[in-house]
Amino acid sequence: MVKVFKFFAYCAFFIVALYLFFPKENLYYKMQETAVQYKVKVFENQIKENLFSLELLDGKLSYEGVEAATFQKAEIRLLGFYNSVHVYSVTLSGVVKNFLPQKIEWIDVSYSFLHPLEVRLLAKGDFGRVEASYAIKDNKIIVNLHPSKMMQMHFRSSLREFKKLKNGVYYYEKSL
Amino acid sequence: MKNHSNSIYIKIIIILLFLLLLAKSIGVVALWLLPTHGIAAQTGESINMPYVRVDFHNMLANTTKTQQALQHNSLSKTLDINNLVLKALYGKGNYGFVIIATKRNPKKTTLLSVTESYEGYRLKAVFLNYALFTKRGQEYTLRLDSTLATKSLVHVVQNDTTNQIVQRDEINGYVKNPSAVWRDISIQEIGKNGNFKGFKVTKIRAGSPFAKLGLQTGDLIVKANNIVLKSYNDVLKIYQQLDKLRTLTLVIKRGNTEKEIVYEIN
Repeated sequence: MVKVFKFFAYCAFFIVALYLFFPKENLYYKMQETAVQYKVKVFENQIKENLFSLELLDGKLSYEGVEAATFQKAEIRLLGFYNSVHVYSVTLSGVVKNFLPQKIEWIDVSYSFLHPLEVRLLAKGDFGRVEASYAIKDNKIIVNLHPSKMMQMHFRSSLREFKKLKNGVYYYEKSL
Repeated sequence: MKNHSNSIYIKIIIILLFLLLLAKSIGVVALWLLPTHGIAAQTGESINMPYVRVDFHNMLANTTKTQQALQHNSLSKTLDINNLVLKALYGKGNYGFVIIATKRNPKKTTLLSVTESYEGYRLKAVFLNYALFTKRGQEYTLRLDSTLATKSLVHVVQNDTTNQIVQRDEINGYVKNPSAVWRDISIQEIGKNGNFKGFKVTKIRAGSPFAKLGLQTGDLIVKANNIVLKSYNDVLKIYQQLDKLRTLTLVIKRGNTEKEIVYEIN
């Protein structure tokens, strides 16, 4: 029993040490390079390396050269068993202003060992609240939207893409 | 007893140090393998006139030399290419192609687009009855084979410019309701693998503002506000700035003619 405890303690120590010494900033650059292959570019004004996370401050996201969004802060945590990206104060590009409210308070994208076949996304903003997931195995996106009053009043045409459920939730599903 | 417990602690410390060293080594290897800098932020092509930084001193110093070089190029270095025959040409300026052959084998023709090379001669531009080639920095003029120079063979692009006035309300209507754009007009990318030709208008709703603006189904939109349209992003960039624009210039290809439509937004 003591040996098993020791083994796990050493493993935990090693993981923590590895995380401390791992060049997180360079790993982010690698992610940036990978994203470019999918025509997605992430830029930031400042990078802050924390003990267990990497922070990007005043960033921009563009797709195919068109600016898609700006964000105040993004916090990346890659712990292996739990990986997440929290993005705060997102402003969507003017391109979407006719489809969606531009302000998003936060977006949380996570992937954990507990749900190995699913990438989860939660977000809250002027549009309301959204719980979405990407099923890796089925290559499918599922979105549950709890629209705000503003969304229901001014962006009704966008809601037409969703299926309204009895509990007031708007559901969207698409196989990629 | 005390010595025994000490040896246990020393063993634990050694293991922990080893793990730390191992983690650090992995970190160093990762640092060596991973990129050391991120991608540079780049701004897209502006729909306004580009800002160009010019060394004014060099401009003044080299003016005489440049003018002399230009005169030299345009007069003394412009030569006929005697061993080539220009069979036909299509297009105008930087857009177009020619059908070319050698005098030795006039039946073996080659289709040559602007910027492509033939026998070392690079096609620079196409004109009414001649084509301009470059080779080793010199310019050569090849005139259309006089025996073949009939009207049926010469497809000349005529530049036609139309000016129209558009009400800003109509533009704002499209800005506020983008789905109306796709309801009234459909465009399709033409060209693949970097050989992009433009956007073909596949549908225009009769009576819509687009129809009134002079666009027709089948038109190929190649430029908007002097930006060569290469992807939907280029169109999107124009759309994003639509409410700020005072003029919008579209260059379209309709059949064999190239037409420029200038919209003045009031």
